[in-house]
Amino acid sequence: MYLITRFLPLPRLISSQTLVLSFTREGASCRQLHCQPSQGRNLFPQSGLICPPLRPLLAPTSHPQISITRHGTNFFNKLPAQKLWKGVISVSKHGAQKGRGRGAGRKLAKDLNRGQVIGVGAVNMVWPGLNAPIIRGQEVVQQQMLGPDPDRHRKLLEIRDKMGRVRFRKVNPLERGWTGTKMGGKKIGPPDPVGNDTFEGFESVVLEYKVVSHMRGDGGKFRRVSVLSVTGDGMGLAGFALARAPAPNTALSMSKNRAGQRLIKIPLYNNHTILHDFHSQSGITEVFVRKMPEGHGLVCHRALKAACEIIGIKDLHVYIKGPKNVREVVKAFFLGLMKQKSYQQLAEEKGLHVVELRKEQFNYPKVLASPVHAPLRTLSDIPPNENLDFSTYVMGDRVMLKPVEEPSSILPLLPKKGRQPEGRETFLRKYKERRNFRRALIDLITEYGDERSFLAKQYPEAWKNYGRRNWNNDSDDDE
Amino acid sequence: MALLERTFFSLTSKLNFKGMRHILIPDTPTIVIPVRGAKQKYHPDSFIGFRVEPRENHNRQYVSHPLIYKDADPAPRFMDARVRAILKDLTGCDHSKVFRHRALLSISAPEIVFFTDEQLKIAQNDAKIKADKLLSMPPVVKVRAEEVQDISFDPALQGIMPNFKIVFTDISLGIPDNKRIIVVRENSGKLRHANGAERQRMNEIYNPRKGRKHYVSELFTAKCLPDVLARGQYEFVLDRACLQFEPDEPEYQSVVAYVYEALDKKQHYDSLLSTRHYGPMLFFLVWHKCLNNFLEHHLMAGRLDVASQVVKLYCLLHQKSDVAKAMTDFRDPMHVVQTFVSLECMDTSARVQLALKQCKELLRSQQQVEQNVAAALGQSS
Amino acid sequence: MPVLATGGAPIYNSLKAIRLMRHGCANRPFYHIVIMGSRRSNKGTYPVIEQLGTYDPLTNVHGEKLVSVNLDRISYWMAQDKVKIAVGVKQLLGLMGFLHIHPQSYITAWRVRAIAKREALSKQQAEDQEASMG
Repeated sequence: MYLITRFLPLPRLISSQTLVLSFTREGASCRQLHCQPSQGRNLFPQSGLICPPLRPLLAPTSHPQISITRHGTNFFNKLPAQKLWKGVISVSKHGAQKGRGRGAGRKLAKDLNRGQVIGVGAVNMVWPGLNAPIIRGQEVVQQQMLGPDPDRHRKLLEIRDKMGRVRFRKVNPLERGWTGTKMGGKKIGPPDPVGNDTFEGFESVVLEYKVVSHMRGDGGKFRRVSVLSVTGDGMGLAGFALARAPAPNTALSMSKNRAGQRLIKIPLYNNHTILHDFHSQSGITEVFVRKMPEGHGLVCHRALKAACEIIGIKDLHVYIKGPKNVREVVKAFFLGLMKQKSYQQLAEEKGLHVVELRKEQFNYPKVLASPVHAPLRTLSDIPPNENLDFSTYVMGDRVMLKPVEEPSSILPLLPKKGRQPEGRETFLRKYKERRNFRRALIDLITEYGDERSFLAKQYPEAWKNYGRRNWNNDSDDDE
Repeated sequence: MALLERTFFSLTSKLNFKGMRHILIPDTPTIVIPVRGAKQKYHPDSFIGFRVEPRENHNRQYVSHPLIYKDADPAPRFMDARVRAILKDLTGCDHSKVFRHRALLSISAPEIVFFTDEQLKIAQNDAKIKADKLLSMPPVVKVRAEEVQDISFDPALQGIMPNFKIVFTDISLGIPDNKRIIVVRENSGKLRHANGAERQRMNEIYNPRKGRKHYVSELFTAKCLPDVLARGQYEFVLDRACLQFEPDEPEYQSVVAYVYEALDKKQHYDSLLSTRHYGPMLFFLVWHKCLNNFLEHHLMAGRLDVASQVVKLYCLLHQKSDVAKAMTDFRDPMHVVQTFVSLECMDTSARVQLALKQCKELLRSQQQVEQNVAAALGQSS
Repeated sequence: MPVLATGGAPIYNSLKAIRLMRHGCANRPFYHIVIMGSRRSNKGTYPVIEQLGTYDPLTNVHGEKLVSVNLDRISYWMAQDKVKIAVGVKQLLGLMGFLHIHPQSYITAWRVRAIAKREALSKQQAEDQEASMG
């Protein structure tokens, strides 16, 4: 077996400064270092050989270090790799206190062995016993010089260029939070099981991930991670909690576990939205929450959106008045959710039927709840200034300002405020050319499977999408 | 003819045409090749037009069905108060189905209100009135006559429009569609009123309504309709038909008859319950005497009251039939159904007789159960 | 200047015409039957006093050319002063039955028939020649 040192130091091998040559063929013996190669004579014919000269086998540039001489030493081969790198990377105690040499861009020791295999070097050779079998079938494998590999050095440099700095690992797009690199909005799995509670079906989401620090009495900053998370089962059970810990993973798990200990049952309407509009406050942060029909989606602050997904609310509108501090917003929101009144409660409070009218169901009166314990009031029982409007009653007599919506379907016909009538005339004149395009297109695609006229088959040169697409994928035999 | 010649020459007296003769050219579609290089001034299409190739007819045809109301007029019978009462009674009014959310209507935020008892009752009354309106039945009338009136004939115009005709529509405001003047000038020089299909198309082009098409929708063709009905979407097709056609159009009656037949074969009558189409469907079955499946279905389920109502309807519509004459006591449902089955269904359907037997059995066992329950509760029957 | 309540160009005291105005696009004409100024220079430019109908010169899939006419309003304008009707519109209204059939329609019809007859004759002669040769 050959063990060859390379010119560039290999940290692992640099301690073995001896060169051992041996042949495993029968009759061969170790060639001693003191043996002098015979000059000029080629003692290495193909068949049967005992002591080949050293020089023809080795590439001219790589000389083994066989003796410790004055001109052969440098600090590369005096010190192990670890020590060498320490000289590059190390940070003093004072520096460490200041936080030097820590963080995203810091240098790392490069393992120069990476990308290299024992037996493969700059000299591209077949070494039987090392990088090739000695006996292949019936043949004995010979030492052979293969063509040079031009890319080897380049590839090594490529590998080494990538090393050496702390790099951020890319997150799968499906697992990202609100941003690619930050933790906000990222899901962190169910809370850890406690005794019999396995938290099956639970999911937690990080609403706030902050690196905070304070100055310690015994000197220096004390860095911690603060995590606000919400955990829930998507069916109305949810809880939120804040936790701080020095290590990020600890903080995350602490937060979700704590949230798991503080679950509340939130009443939902048809498992997709809240029971009724409400207003809620935490500090000076006010939250106006409106119940929305199916398909509306979550139109709110991203933290509340994440929280609603966890709770199981799918359609909601939230307007936040005041500071949008995430903690306060979440607190206010949860407070309001907890304080929701069931329809039965409202019916009892008011002594009236709670009736739902849906426009798409022709305003059919659907009785949600009727008072059972409280007496049912008549119009004469109700004082004249009592608020009978359901929406303001549940909002605590607050009225939310609704923006005036212009329905887009009649936009071309109504003049926009402030616009000149001539502009409208011009618009109408130009618009009438394309007014029916959409309807005509739909009719054509329904009829012919493509945007073409009935003449297209007769005059295919005028058929824009000839042979290109047919939405209906059917034959035009019946035309 | 002589009169026409005289009028013609008086109009064109100022123009000097010698040797002008009327040449009758058969009205066949031929390609008229334009004279090369010439100005093509007197080319047939150039009067205000372009070179015309013969067009293939648009081959899509509505589905056809023989059972349309073409001989006797069903309208007076349909409008009869007793008939309407029976149809309304059998249709039923299940609020959850009548007021259900229709797929194409967009959902808006529901409104929740506090109601006193009186307000709730008023709202529920309004709902009943709305339900009546939603369940108002599309009229059953006789198919309209296909005769198309000719207005005038001017043979001197022959050949002026080979391969095409001109359809003139009056787009004056304030005229209802059925009174609109729509005339067609043909190649032979004939001026006539437009036929039903042409009228429908012109009205849709110049007075479009949402959901109506100016072309034959594939839904109503023999290619598509069986598939849709196989999926049980009877109400959808009938709603679309009401939107597209008028009740006196032969196409409407064909489509609707096709749907009723498919429904009848599979006995899916309940899919039309609490909809506005149940009444006309039942009327159709009774008018055309296709009651075997209906009776079998309801008698097997033990719904004797429904069966007896239908037989009463039969008597109202076919007052001169044997069944109507033989019927003595309308108040006893069993007697009513028995008379009908014995007179009408003896040779046509053994299944109906079997169903009647089953019905009797069912009623007997029900009675038995009631008696046992009463006895168990200690009440004397 | 008086203007119709439905909008449109002011109604001057000049000569007006009920005529065809070409809309549509390249290789696809579509005419509006309008009442507007009678001069040739008016034709390409806006605006019209009132639109009275449409005419589509290309046959549709059913082999028809569609013409729509607001008879109510055409009758009104025809009764007004200083209104003339262009030949094309007169022909259409004649074919519709609203006015007498225009002489130009008869002329065109006659000429078409004449061409057809001539072509048929020459075709017959060619066939006869072939038959006699063969």
